[in-house]
Amino acid sequence: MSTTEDHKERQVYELGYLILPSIAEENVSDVVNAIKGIISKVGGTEIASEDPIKFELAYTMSKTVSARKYVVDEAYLGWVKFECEPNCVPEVNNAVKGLDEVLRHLLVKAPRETTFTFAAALKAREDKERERLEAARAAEEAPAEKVQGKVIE
Amino acid sequence: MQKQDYFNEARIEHIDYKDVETLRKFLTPHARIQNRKRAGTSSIHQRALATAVKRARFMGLLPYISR
Repeated sequence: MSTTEDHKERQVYELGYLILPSIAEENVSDVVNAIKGIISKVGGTEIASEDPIKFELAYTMSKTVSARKYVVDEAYLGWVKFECEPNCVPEVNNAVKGLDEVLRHLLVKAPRETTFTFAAALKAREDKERERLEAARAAEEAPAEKVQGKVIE
Repeated sequence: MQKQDYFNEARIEHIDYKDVETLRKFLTPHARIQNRKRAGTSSIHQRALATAVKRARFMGLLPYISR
């Protein structure tokens, strides 16, 4: 094979994570920096990321941190996309697992292009909702005009 | 007529687990993954969809069961 020990193919990965809601909003960035620090420590380069946003979980999760059990219904969700050698992946995985503030994380292979962000999805949903409301308003006004027209006749 | 593959039509190459709005289209009211016959997806996309839904469930974006 052409790939030798010192010339391994780099691969793009995406790390999604949930942060406990008990962390104050202003301290969430510290956790994010810790995660990014882990990635840069193993020689990974960040490609894209999205800051955590608080959202309601689809079901209740729990995490035990030194005899204290957290049962949560919401969490901060964020992700980082980065590039590194495949042999660094277990290192990143274990290091993130060791962070007490992280409720869950998911490390998967990803394409280099970012096609989805929560910000874009939220905006699209709001636009759709606004369109729907406007359409409903227009439909409400249209019959009223017709009635008026009849009265004039 | 046979249903068309949504992911081909919408030109979605990578089915992202974070894209909950798209994934929800392929769930039954009980939050189970629709079968291929109902969803109309190709087998490659159906497998990718199943993986994405399972990842979304783990991350709390989608429920495992509903109702």
